[in-house]
Amino acid sequence: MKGVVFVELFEFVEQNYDVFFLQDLIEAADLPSGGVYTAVGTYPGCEMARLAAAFAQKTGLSVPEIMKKFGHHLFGRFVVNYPAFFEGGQDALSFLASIEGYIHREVYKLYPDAELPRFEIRDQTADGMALIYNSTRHLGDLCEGLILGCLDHFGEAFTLTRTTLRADDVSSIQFDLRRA
Amino acid sequence: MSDLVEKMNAIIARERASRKQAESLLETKSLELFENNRQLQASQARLEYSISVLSEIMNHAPDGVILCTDDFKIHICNRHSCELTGHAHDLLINQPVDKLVHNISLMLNRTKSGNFTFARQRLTRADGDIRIVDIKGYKGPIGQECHYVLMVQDITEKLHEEQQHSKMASQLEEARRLEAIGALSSGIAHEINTPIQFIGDNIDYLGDAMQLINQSYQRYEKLRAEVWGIEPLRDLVAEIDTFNASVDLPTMIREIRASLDDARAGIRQVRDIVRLMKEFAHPGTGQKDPVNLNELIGNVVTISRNQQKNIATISLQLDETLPQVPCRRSQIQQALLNLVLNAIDAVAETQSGSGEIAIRTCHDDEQVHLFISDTGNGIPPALRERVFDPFFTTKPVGKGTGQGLALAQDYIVTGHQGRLSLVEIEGYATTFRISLPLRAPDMNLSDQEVEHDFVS
Ligand code: HEM
Repeated sequence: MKGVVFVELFEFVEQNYDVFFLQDLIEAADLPSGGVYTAVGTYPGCEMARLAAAFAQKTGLSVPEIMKKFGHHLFGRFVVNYPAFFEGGQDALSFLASIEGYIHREVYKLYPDAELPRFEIRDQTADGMALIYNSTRHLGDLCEGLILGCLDHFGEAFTLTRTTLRADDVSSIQFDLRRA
Repeated sequence: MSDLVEKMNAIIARERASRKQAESLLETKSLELFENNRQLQASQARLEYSISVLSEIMNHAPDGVILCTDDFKIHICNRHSCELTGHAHDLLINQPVDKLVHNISLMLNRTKSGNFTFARQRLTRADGDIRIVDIKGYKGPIGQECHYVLMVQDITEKLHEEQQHSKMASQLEEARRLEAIGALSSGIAHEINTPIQFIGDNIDYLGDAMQLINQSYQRYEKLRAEVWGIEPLRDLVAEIDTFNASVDLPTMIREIRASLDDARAGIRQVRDIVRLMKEFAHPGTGQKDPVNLNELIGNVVTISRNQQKNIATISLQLDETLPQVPCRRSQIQQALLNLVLNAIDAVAETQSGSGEIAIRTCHDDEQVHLFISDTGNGIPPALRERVFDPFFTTKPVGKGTGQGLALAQDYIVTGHQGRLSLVEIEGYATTFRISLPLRAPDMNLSDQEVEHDFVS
């Protein structure tokens, strides 16, 4: 996993708690990297899982809840860090539909070793669509948080339904978006 | 408190480590970037070199190089293609190749992948000219698409040269044959001359002897008439009379004379032919003598009699008052013969395979004119200007060298400052006119003027 995700997670923790809480978390997670991350580096995906588990233990929140909250936060960070992607004046649906073919493709140029999910878009209309998340990294909760962050960013009200299509070595999750 | 300090220290250490890691990552990345850039530059230089070499090759290739894709449109072409086709580069790009060579796309489509050769194709230039080209090339994929690389070589000149060469070779062959025939005929002429000489001498001798015998006989006849009344001789005279009556001696003598005259005429004819054969064997330049053209025409008609048989009837309309012309007899005779033989060929080529040839002579104060007309198929207007070209012939290869008219023209124009031209005479398909000056012309009559006359 790219360091940028860890760096943003640390910021998220610092914002919501404090720098000492973060230090405790890192120590508790007992990370091979020792919690030393840079945005452009690449680190084992399991460190994210360990951090999330330690976070859960310390706060009593569930890991899915933490990942969703972090995803929501992360999207806000993307808006700040990558303003170029938000210049087109799109809406939430068209933005989400453009991740596979445009945004993640641009991400790939920046980080050639990025491990990105694969998205399928189905039944896209003005009032909704289905977005299917496929990945071997099983980050469906992070994805849900990112989607919710996206909806919040564009200020649009949608009901989001989540259906697991597959959960073995590959996660396949269908997110249905309906305009509320 | 010390707990807090410890924590702070741990946080600072982690942050510092992160920064160090970031720095070393940055270094690695910039090193990578540098290395990539270097490689990129090197490969760009290689690429640029390849491109410039390729474009040099393309631009200096002596053949047209054309690249087209499956749509059979020209995508790339080199400088020589433009020269070859007469089209500007931009006007060639995206044009169908068929515009250059009719239906080449069909042939390209049909051909198997790999190398191909289409020999002797007709390429249409921008100005409508046709060039003959050999097209060699390669059909195969470049990237995803099927491409055709065409190397177009203009062989028009080469072909022309080859034709010229083979014509020259056959002309040479013809010349050798003529030389051999010449040598042979002069040999034969010589061989015939000797016996003919003594046959002639013998006949002359026989004629003279006959004369003497006749004179002697006349005397005997006188004697016979005198002695008729003398008794002892009467029986003898009667016997002679009976015999004479049975052989009709006077008639016989007349006939002997006539047949000796015939024999003499025959020998004269043989001598004439032998002389002509000699002349044809050695048509040297020689000096000019006054020649009666009508007589030459007679000779030519005699010589070509074999060729005329069942093909042409030759009618003569000769000016009895034709003055003698200073010329090289054998050259003019050869020129005339060529024209007559051509006329016979022309007549033979018609549907009926036969026809008429008319030869007419006339004169004015300065020149004598000779017209040779035939009822052949005529010369198409497009070819009229070319008939005097040295290698022009409508006859199939091997039938004629195309030298006949050119030679005639050379003899008449260069050899005699005369003119050979095509004219129109009602009732005939083709008429050639020969005009020869009666007096040696002044030298400032330029060749050009003469030239102009027979071209028009
Ligand atoms: C400007 C917008 C976005 C940017 C710049 C961005 C960039 C990235 C980056 C850098 C990664 C990390 C890849 C790695 O660790 O190797 C990532 C992963 C991911 N992104 Fe995005 N992303 C954006 C929008 C979104 C949105 C809107 C979604 C949700 C639909 C999304 C879903 C994910 C998920 C689920 C992953 C985790 C990898 C996985 O599950 O296989 N991203 N993205």
